[in-house]
Amino acid sequence: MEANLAPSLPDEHHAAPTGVWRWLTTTNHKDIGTLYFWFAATMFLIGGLMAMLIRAELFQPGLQLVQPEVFNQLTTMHGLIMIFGVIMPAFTAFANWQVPLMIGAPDMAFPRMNNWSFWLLPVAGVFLVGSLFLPGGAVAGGWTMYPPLFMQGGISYDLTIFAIHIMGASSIMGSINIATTILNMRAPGMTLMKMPLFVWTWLITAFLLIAVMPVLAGAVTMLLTDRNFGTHFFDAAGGGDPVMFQHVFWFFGHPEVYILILPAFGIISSVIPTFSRKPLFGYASMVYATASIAILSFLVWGHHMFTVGMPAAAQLYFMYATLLIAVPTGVKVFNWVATMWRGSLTFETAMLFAVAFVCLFTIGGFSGLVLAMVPVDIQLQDTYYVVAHFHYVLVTGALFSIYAGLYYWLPKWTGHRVNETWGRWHFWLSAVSVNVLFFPMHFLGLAGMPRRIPDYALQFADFNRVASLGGFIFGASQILLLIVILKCIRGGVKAEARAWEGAEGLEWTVASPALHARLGYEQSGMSAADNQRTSRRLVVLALAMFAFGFALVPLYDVFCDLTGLNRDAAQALANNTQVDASRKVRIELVANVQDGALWRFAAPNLPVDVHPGELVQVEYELENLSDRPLIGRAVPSYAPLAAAAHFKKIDCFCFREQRLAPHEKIRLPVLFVLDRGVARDMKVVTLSYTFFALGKRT
Amino acid sequence: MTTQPGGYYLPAPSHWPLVGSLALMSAALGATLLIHDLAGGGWLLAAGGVGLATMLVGWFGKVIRESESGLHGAQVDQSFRWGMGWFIFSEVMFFAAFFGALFYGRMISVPDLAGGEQLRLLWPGYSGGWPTTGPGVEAAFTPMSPWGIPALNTLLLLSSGATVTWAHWGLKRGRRGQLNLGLALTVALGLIFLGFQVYEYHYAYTALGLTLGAGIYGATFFMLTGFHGLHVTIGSLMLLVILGRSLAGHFRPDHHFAFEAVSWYWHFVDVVWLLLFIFVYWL
Ligand code: HEM
Ligand SMILES: [Cu+2]
Repeated sequence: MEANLAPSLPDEHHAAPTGVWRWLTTTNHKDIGTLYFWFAATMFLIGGLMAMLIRAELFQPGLQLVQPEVFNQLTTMHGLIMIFGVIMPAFTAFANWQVPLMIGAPDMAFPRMNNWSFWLLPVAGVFLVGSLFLPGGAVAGGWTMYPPLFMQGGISYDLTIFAIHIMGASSIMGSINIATTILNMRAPGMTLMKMPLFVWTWLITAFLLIAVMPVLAGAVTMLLTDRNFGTHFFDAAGGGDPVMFQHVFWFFGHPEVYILILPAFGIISSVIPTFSRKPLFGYASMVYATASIAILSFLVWGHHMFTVGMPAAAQLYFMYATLLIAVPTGVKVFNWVATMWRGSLTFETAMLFAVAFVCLFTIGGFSGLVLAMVPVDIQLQDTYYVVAHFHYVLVTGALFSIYAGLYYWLPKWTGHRVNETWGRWHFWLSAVSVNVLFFPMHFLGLAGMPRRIPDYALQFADFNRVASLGGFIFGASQILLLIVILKCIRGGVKAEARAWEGAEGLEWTVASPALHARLGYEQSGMSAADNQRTSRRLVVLALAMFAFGFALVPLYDVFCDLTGLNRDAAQALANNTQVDASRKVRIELVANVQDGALWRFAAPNLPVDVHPGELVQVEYELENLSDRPLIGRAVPSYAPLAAAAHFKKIDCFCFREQRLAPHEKIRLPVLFVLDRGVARDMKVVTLSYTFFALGKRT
Repeated sequence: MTTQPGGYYLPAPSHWPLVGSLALMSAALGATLLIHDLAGGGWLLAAGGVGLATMLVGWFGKVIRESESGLHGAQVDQSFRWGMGWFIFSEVMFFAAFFGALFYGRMISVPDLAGGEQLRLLWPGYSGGWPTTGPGVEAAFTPMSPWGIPALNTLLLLSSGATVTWAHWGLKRGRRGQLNLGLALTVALGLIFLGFQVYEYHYAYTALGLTLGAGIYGATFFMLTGFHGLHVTIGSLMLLVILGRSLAGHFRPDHHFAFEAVSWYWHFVDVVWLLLFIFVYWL
């Protein structure tokens, strides 16, 4: 196999080390890819066992297996391990194996540094897993590590910080390597816009990683000094703010979730065309969509913080910007579907996982959109709905893409075809059980079950039991994957160079297995005018997306003016002429205000009793107590939540800016109808307004 | 399709990465133990430090030998350029996190604590303003004035940026004397800068009462200037290595990316300092 490749390679003048030493010292991208893969697999086993324990504890209400502290450690470690120890290394495994093969490079640009990027990971992994056994146990405040809770832990907290530093160093070096390889080592003629989409997605992922891992390092460094060296970054007594951590963390965190999904998009974009026997639909739009997602991902971090308290304008901004991400994501989904449209489809296991990815990732994208809406998120934040969301995008998204990629490229790596029978069993068991596992979590979240809790109220028992059962089946099914992989490594039908007859791309022109062969081509530089044009376009796109992000709020207002969107409420009146005189509902009116020293905001003293369907007017009062003009805005909320759907406000001051001269006092009328659909047993409804000051408070 | 290796130098298997990983492991474990006053922490940390230094010397030594024996073709050189560029970008983002903390403290958290409900309920009478130790930290300090040592340090670093560029001109025109002198001057300026900074820290702690614990001002002041100082230290060390190599006759007018990488790094450290001077000391 190797004879027909690369007659003489520089490193073959040295005696190649064997045994363990080979793996410890290797500078071959394929060896390193394999190492990344097995590291991810090992961590997957550990993180997966934790998940099994979590689901076992949640199988029924009450505390059965683990104490609450241990439960919290399990969820925290499960999150950290799955994100940093499984998905990211697995994607890096693909990058190591595939990027040089796909672009025709002899290896990665910095083979030695490549080795170091990998061998830092086990160190971090040992720290993370080992910290479970330290006095006080592992980190328990959630993978997001929010202070002040994080300040209170013991020795494992500091060890975890260092583990994150080390993983960060590993990711940054790995990404520098990948980006440099892609930018500098492509075969002649492979311009940027001819690269396989997987390579594009990794180039952009590498950029994201290099941009945000240092920010995470900075954030945890501040935690470290706050914990041990007396700084006050996150301590209000010293003028700091725990919320600041959340800002810094999510500035890293949201791009991070795209780091966890962009390579998946790349893998899926390789698999679907092969088994549809058609080129990828809309290649250029895929590239630009990926780039816009990456840029937008820097502008939306606030959607993780809607409930911590931020100005209404900021909430609106983060909401619109987040919703905007759905556009490029939608472009991708449509492109995949269009690729399959009228293709000669076959459903090998790789394709099955890819199709499942398209369907199920989209569900996760939709629940993300739901969560992106401020009023909805305020109810759902920190419930199981969020858990359902990110497991759809991460398990049926990122993880399924990894499976698809494995089934797709294993023949190239091992030289043997995958056993499709076992593969199909693995697919169907996983695809069904994963939905049994995660779909009920949407209902649990909507019903109000909080996340990160070892015990729960009785009404959540049924769905939890279903989810746990699905979880056990899903967990067990993954053993099949291990069997498939081991079988494939040990033997089986020989794979040709082009292992799938519909596959395109350089990697299919070298023999399978591609082990030790290092491709070599005359290299092209970066000078091609084409590359420059693409780079220029990307820069313009970046600037445009940034500008667009900041123009969103004014644009939305214009949009409403044009479409009359906010006038909809007025039309609702027409359908509402009948009054149900047979019953009355008591409406309690509440007023809350931030900055009570500046404003007085008052509700009518008495509750009002209304017939459903009746038009009612009440008046709130607002007074500026200070000596200068003030601007503010009120946001309504309802209890019980179900009443919100039946409240039709015809005229309301809510969401409108109120400008008050010094000591001015105004009346704010609300004209509303409680429609006849309101449930009979709903006897009391609370309408409350919270008034926020806008602009700078001093 | 050709199967020529294309001349890209691919290094043989190497044990240095492994040494580096073990060293970092030892250092991180040691630091954790040390923080918690547990036995062995100091030793592990020191061992890690020594290991890391050994690795750096061994690894970079190897790269230097490879470079000098002509193994690095034009494309490898180009890879180094990309690599260094991305690395500096990652450093920019690291500093951005701390600048973010500074701006957040000044523009958001401190004004918030000095107004509204927080003022009424938590710390009545807190007046905010900048610099501040925050409402709950009982420490009086004098802020660092920009026009003493910091201004001098700005001058030093800016001139060091000029000297390193002057050295580069020398290198490109084959004037080795100018190269060596420029480098030596740059190192000297860097070291003087560091000396001043040590003095400044000492002065802050003893005379001004300005410590790491002095609220958000102290935290951002020391973390930002401290990480910058660390970068100056690393930069000076790298410059020293480059000076040594230059004295040993390394570098050619058309092949000296190691020099350029270090000077990029040095300019980056320079720019960070300018931002520090403006936002930490001055405004
Ligand atoms: C259409 C795209 C997406 C939108 C609009 C979206 C929106 C959101 C929102 C608003 C939240 C905050 C929920 C809350 O805490 O109340 C959230 C959480 C989360 N999302 Fe997404 N998301 C999207 C895609 C993704 C993707 C692709 C991933 C990862 C591959 C992801 C991973 C996560 C994770 C891990 C969390 C939970 C973080 C935590 O609190 O622990 N999301 N998402
Ligand atoms: Cu997000």
